[in-house]
Amino acid sequence: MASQPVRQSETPVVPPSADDLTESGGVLPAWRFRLAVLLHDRAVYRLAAALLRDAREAEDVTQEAFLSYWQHGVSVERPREWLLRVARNAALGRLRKSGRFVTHAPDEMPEVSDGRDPEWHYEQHELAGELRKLVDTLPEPQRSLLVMFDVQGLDGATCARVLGLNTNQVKVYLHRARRRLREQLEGAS
Amino acid sequence: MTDRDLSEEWARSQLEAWADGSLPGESRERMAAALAADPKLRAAAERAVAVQRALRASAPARMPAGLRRRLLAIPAGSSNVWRGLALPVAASVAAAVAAAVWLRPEPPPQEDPRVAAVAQDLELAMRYLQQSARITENEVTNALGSGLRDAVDATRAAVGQETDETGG
Repeated sequence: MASQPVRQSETPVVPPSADDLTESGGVLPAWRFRLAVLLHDRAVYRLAAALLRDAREAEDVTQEAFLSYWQHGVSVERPREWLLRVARNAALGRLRKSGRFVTHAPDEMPEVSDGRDPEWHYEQHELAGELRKLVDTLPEPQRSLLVMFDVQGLDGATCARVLGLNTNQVKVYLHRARRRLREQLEGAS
Repeated sequence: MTDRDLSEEWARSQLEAWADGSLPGESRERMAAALAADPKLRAAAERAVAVQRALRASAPARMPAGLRRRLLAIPAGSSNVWRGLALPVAASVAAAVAAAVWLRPEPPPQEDPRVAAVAQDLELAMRYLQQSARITENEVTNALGSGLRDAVDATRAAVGQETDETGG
């Protein structure tokens, strides 16, 4: 299930302590920070790991994102989108620094029932491996979008907010990214 | 460029939308006709579906053990981070130290173990809610299924009885 962002204006789910009430001036209450960790840590880590392909770096980026949220998150209304955006920027920054960054691109199911044989599953596994490599060659924001929408299962509106796109752009970039993968696979075979 | 070329180009450009079901009705019919007529296009369409299926099926990375604990500890440890940043500044410019101290945010509120416990309880409760929603969905489906079966059986029996009575 997709978790809902905690909004400042909503009644807190966890009752604030007396300390929280007195600290409400400019510091993020600890209970709100912890709730964000419990609700969004996996999504943030997975995005970082999918972009960086390195568990250690993904862990660092996740910690940076949450530390930043703790320090600057008091006025953040949508913690999930905010954290994903910060983690993505940090991951792309690391890729850029290490020369692994893919530049921005110039603009240039039907359901099948499962009674499949092991060969089919093997082929799917192979295809997934091939796709992982090809996803890394996609330009931004296609790559982040594909990871968030297709792999992580985030909805289009959330992806749009994280990437600063509108929903039409999300659709266009998504189809463009998938087409590119398909054509590359066709070219390889 | 012939009409046929244009039509083929259109169909190729719509394969991803067709594969994820977002192609609107009329275009979908046009695509179905194009697919029926062109085996190469059909192969490309199957590839498009396979790509989407493989992307969705790819297992997301598992979060390392202990990361959540470290994240939850950030509020308790962040005051050290600020201190670490403030010390070099203090060594170089005394005035900057004063400014840094003045600008430093209030120390975070003392960690209340009850809050952490409540947050964990909340997460557990959400899991139970999801589980019970699934169970309820199954129960409703089963109940509807058996109700429908009973209704069909009763109708069948009534029709059979009526047929016997009328001799038909």
